[in-house]
Amino acid sequence: MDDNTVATLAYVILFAPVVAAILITLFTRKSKGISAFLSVGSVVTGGILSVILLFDQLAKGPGTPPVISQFEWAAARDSAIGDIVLNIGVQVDFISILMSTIVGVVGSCIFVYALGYMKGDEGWSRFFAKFAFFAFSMLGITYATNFVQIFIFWELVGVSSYLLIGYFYQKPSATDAGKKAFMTNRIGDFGMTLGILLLFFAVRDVFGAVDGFSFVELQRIFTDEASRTLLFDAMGWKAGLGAFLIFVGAMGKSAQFPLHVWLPDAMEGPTPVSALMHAATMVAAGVYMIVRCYWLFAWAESAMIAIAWIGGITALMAATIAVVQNDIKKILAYSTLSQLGYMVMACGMWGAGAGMFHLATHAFFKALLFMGAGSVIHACHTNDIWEMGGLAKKMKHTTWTFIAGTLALAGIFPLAGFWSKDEILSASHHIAPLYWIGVGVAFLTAFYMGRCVFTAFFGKYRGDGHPHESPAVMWVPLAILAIFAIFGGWVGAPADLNPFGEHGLQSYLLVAYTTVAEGAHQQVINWPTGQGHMAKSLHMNVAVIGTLVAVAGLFVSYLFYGSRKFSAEKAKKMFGPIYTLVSNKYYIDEFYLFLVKKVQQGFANLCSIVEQHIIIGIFVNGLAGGAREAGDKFRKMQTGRVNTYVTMILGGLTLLVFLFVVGKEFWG
Amino acid sequence: MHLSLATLIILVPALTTLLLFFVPAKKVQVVRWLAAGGAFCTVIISITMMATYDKAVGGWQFTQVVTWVEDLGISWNVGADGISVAMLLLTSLVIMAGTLVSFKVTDRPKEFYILLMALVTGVFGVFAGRDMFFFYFSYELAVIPMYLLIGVWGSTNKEYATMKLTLFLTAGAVVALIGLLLLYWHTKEFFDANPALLEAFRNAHPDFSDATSSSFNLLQVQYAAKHAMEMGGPASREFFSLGFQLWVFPLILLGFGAIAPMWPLHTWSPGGHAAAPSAASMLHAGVLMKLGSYGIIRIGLTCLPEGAAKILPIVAALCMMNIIYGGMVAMAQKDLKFVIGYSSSSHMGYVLLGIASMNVIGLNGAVFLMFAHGIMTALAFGLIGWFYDQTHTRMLPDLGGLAKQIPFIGVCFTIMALASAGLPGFANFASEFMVLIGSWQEAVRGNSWFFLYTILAVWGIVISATYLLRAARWAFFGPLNPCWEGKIKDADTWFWRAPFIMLIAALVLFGCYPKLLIDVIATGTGPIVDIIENARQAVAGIK
Repeated sequence: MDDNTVATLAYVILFAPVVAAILITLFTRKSKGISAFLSVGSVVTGGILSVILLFDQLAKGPGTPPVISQFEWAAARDSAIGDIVLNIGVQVDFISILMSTIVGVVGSCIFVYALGYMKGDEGWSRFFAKFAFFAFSMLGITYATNFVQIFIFWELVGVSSYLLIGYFYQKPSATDAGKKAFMTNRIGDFGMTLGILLLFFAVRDVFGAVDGFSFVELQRIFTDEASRTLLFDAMGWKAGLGAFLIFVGAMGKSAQFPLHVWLPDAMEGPTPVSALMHAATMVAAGVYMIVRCYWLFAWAESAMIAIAWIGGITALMAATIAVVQNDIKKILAYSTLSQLGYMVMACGMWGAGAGMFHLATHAFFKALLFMGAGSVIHACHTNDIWEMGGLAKKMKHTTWTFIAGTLALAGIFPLAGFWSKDEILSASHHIAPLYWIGVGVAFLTAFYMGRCVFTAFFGKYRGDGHPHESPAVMWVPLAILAIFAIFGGWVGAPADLNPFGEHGLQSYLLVAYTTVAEGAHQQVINWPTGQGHMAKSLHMNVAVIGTLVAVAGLFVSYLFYGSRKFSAEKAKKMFGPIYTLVSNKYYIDEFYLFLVKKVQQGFANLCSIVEQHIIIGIFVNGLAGGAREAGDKFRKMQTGRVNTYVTMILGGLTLLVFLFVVGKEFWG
Repeated sequence: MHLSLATLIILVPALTTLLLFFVPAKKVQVVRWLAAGGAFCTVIISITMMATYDKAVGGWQFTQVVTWVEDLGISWNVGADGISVAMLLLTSLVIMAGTLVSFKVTDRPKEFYILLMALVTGVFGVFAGRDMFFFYFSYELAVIPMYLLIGVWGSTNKEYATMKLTLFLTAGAVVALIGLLLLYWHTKEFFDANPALLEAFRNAHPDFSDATSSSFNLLQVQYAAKHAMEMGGPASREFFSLGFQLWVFPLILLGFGAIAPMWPLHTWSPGGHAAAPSAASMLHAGVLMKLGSYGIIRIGLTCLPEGAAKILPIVAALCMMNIIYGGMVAMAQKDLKFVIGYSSSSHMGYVLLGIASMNVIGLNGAVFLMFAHGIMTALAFGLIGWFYDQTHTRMLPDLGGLAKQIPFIGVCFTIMALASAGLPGFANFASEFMVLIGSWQEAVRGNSWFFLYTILAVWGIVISATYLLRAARWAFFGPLNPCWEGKIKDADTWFWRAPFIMLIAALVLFGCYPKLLIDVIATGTGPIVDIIENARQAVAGIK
């Protein structure tokens, strides 16, 4: 395909969902069928076109230069420092196409599933309009050509999540959760705005009128050693700060510690929303941006170390919390958090390819798990895994797909999760503590997923309903995703095991994220740490350890919750205070609540008091009161009695004469 | 006689006001539709101006000059540049929405509309006027009807509020008037001393071929300032010396700053908004506040650029009080109109910050934000008015879950809150983002304080999201407060919806494609930035 066609297709993929959302909102709210058709159709179209673009890109081979098409959105013509132009457009290269394929394909499955899940909901059209808008926002991030555009859609993703999490707007917890998501993301965006400005003007300062928002321009500067050195010398410590501030935006969207608190609450939205948010959109945005702007992060070493540790802490913290959750969606939510931490950790250790790969595989099996959970909730009318049990017999399709997702997530050979987890662990090989955190998280992941499966799907049914299999419109998407979860990982396997040999996913990713198109391969081995992580073959020690801990995790969970050889109650008692700490989510929510309710609101109230009593009370009203008082005093002089006036006239006259005489004496 | 569009846009509401006097008070429908018709004409005119404004040429267009009082140098001197075009469009959209929303007014509608149209005549006069006398006259014309509108049709402590508002604004106007008169005399002295330049001015502007040395003509003052400043160093020159500018600019700044409203002169505004009837608070917050920042840009920056260059950095510090302090106070409010009122003073802080950064993108952002904020806040007060008429309370704890009962208003309110919180897709985002870039650019240029200001201003966006979402959450989401069950009517006909849809459409149109408006605004701000840039270089190094 020529560049024009590619750009046109990208525009269609990007704008189809928003057109659908607008049409639904304006015209077809009443007719549910058309609304659903428009919404689902736009995303499925996007998915198909993305796949076409993907194959086109594969045919062109690794390192194809990006196709960029953009138009001026707003500009300031400044002759003094050069024009500042804000653009909107599409940048089509391997990474954006891969992301858009994930959004399109996983999204399509979720949209179809939603047709079944949302049946009978009174806000049907509203739901599908918002849902399509969500996909649009995410695609806008995917195809962004510059920082301003990515920030614009970044905010739009934030607002879509606000609207969808708070979909049941009469439910206080739902609207509060939506608000929380939006606000937490806003704090992340605070950092991101500053980071973008810092970077833009630093580039301006050194290179003159260069578009310091544009990804391509920045990439050119950062990948060229001479210009990079020039820039870093000029920026000094601010380079690391700038990269970190931009990462703060990713911390908000990808829910990294300590901005992770919104994600578990986001379960208040309808399940398809959770699936979309946790798999293909929103949380993926942060990781995607790190990969997208890797030329920046890769050279900002201090920021990278911080990123790696934040990722590691998030992964471990969330995995421990997931172990003690009873709500099936909450388990999955914390699992998402933990896996995001994994990806970010990998990115922070110069393994952006591994991070992106895990993002792709995770999107498939996490969407699968969420929708499986939704199917279970739909059948049992409860979220509590202790009120389920024995569902394997009643819901065959849901069960086998859910188990496939579980095994993929746990990283069992040869399912999708195995390959990407392996890449992450090999990437983190060189920072020992983080490597062991990674291994520990792998164990915990297998354990909590095993706990969930054994409790919900096996044993005896403990609820009081009549669970039954969901309709085909719900389980067929599950089956499709399950196939991806089982076989999808092979495309990214190391070269000697990969069905495509040397031309697997990693070869494309490596080229895409290391440099601009030309001469990319040499750069790979020259990462700042000297760590080129593309594996030609499996790191046997990493793979074996990873698999062993995963199997161990599943086995231990079987002993606790399957065969019940061990008692979970005793374990709880054994861990005592640690259990309390973990089950209260490390009291982070309480800490934030304190900050918001006490500190912030207290400060606001203080300002209000100052306003009311000092500025208005003393200054403004005081001034007015003073004027009135003075008027009042002077009024009393007008007594209306002649003798008063005569006395005053005489007094005044005497005073004047006196002053005149005395004055003459003194000053001549 | 040929009437230019700038003349028309002032004449139409003036004529409407006049016609309204002759309609019998009983014919309420006639009164309403006449006012709406007048407003509609202004919308058509302003859109035509926007569409036909020649961006390639720039400068003043649609001009018309008719001498009024020759001895004093007062003339009917109107026109529009890029900034004016944007402001006229804003005003016409807000008055259109305001007249439609006011169809609900049943108490003395004739008088209400007469005052409303008189007020807006004044506003148009300021935005299209190029004569300082006329500028001041129109400004007062806009302020006085507000006194009556609040005093008669208002609510919530209206006597106090309207008194305070009028006193503040009139006091501000008087301070500004002193500044204007000083400029007038100074210009006269300048031209008396340099008759050759007066001749040159006459030749350069065929419209003003009979100009004398005494003139309220803004262009003539600007011409004098420009040439005076070319005649020597800031301290040594005879006219428009730095000393003079440092003495007059603060008068202009404080005078117009009172209505902008600059901290700590802001206290009249939230109370005034809260007390005013819907249409009045729409105009008030939407348009009247912009007169202040417009005056600072139009007169302060162009005629007294060296004074501005020295003093604006201090103003930037006050903006932080507007943004952060105003935002925090908004967060503590329970009355919804006070939330929006303090939020307005917080957002106007961004406008002033954009002006204070004194560069292209900052000033463009500031003017664009004046437009965006005007539309947004008019929308807010219109919506609040809609349910306040029925609930008779705006206290957030008493409301709750209204979205169930009035879904259309709920959706619009959410849109307003998101727009105000600076969400992309609405004009507010693009403009605030430009202001932030401008502020950072000023910091990079050398005034390191602006780093701090930018950081605080970005944090201000977080604060604004906090109180706006909180307000939306309390008023519209969650379970419906049972006492409103079935009591409140939604805007269920297209007629009632029209004003809100129109305002939202404007926000979205210019938010999705800001270039439409920014390119027009830029033709107006460009010359101003050039003037101020020269002045900054002249005064650089002088303490």
